[in-house]
Amino acid sequence: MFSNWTFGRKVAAGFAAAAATLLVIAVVGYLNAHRLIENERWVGHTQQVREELNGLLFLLVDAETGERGFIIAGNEAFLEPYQAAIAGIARRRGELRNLTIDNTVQRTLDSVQPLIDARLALLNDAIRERRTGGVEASARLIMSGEGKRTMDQLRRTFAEMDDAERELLTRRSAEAEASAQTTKLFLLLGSLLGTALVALIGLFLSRFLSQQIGAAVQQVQSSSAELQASANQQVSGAQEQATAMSEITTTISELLATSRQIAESAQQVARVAEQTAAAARAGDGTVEKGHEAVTGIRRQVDIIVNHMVELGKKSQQIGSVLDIVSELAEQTNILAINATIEAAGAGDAGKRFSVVADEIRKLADRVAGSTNETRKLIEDVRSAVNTTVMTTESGSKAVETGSRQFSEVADAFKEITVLVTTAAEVAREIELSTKQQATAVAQVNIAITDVATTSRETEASSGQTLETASQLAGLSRELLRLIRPQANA
Amino acid sequence: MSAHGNGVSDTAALLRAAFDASFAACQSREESAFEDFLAVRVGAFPYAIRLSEIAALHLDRKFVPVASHIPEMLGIAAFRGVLAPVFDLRFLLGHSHGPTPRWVVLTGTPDPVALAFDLFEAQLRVPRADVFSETPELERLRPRHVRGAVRTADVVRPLIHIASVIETVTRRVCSVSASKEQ
Repeated sequence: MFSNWTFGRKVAAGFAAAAATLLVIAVVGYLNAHRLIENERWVGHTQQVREELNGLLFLLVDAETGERGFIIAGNEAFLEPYQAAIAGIARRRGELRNLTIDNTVQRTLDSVQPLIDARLALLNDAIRERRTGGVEASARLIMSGEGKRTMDQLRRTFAEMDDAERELLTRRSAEAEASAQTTKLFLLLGSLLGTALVALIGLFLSRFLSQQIGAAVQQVQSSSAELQASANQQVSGAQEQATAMSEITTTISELLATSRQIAESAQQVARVAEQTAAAARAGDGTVEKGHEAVTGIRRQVDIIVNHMVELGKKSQQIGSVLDIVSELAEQTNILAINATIEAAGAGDAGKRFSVVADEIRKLADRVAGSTNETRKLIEDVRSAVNTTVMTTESGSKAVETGSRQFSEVADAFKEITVLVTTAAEVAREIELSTKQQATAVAQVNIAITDVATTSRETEASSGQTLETASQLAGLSRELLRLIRPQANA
Repeated sequence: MSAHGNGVSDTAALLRAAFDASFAACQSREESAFEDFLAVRVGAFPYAIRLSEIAALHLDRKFVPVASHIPEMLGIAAFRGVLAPVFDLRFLLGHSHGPTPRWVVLTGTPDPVALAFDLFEAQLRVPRADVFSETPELERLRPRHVRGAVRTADVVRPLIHIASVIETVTRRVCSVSASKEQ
């Protein structure tokens, strides 16, 4: 329940509890003191009543003493105590009435009044007899014993009243003593209880406040440490940011210069592109003429190729004829050899035939040799024709390729013209965009410069934050040391 | 082209003149001083066959295969009405086999035998002085069915001894027949 209380509320509650305790002790002490004082006052009152009673009795005795002195001496001067006592008795009777107005003594006093009046009357009668009748008259009156009886009764009554007042005094003294003891005991116990309660409240507050403030201070210490670390990082980051901003500023400046150079280059590119477009349009006509010439060459080469292919076919036919001639020569040779063998088998009769056969064989050999030579020549021709055909076909293909390339070149020239025109427009757009970019980069440069200034300010602020965080960490450690000395021990 | 054409015409004229002169000249030369041979190639190797040992030369004859235990026998063929067995000279001379040979010589033996080979190159008329019965190299190598050599302008050709070939073939046939009878 108390954990949710605030620091001020807990302190106020502690002080309120201590104040309530002190207030209870004070009220009870005040009441006890008041009762003691009242008892003391009543004790004093009782003492005063007793003194007044004794004084009244003494005045009666003084009056009797003065009466007797006058009776004995007959001197009026001896009546002075009597007269003083008469005056004092009246005064004391009034005072006693006032003092005993609330108790039983008043009633007793009312019963004593006739006795006092009777005694005073007897005294007055004795004095008057003395004056009128002399000593004997007054002695007779005294000897009647009326006065003594009245006086004795007064003494007993006063003794009873004094006893009653003494008893009352004793009782009130006991009450005053009891009240004093109660007050002393209450003050002692109240002081002890109050001290213990204040000590408990102090201990309670100390513990609660130590716990709460200690936890809070530890939290503050932890937070200040984190804040310190964060401030460190912030300082480092701010420094890096400041450095990066400086580099960015430099780069932006270079970028600005580069953008201006690009704008100039784009302007030059636009001019060159316009010149190139004009040259490409002129080259397009030249390429068109070249294309027509190549097309003519291609037709001539096709004719040559056809002739060469025809020549190759003829050579192949000659080769076939030569194969037949070669075959005939070979067969002739075989026949001649066989004829020679047959002629040899015929003996002398075959000798002449052998000569003929030999000549036929030689002729066949020569024909075969000539055929071989012719075949070689034909092969050379065919090879040359094939080579020529292949070369011509290659040339035709080259011409065709050239023609196609001329077409492609022409198309390329047209495309170049279009592209260069487009490039010129794009270059102009690039020039315009680059100028806008340069303007934007200049603005960015100004903004980056401002940001760099802010970064430096942030760096300085971060340094101050770090210093503050360090001071806060020190203060939290100091506060924690004050609250929990054992924690830092 | 004209020069080349003149050369060919001259060659034709020379051939014609030589052909005519051969018939006009007398037969005065000593025939016994020369000997005729066939220059052939068996496999890739040059050989010579004495013309007097053969009966005929043929090209692209059709061989009819016959069932035989003799692997070197290619079949039988007809030569001017005479049936003769055809043997592969490459096998008989110890060379590797190849495509079916196109050329055939028919031996002049009483029982003619056809010997097939790969290529006929030319007929050679060689002086007897260039015909050797044995050479030191042949004597060292001792090739099968070779007896002597013929020296030509470009190469020395081993001379195939037809009689030896026929004897081997005959022995092979006899041994196979004997094994069949057994």
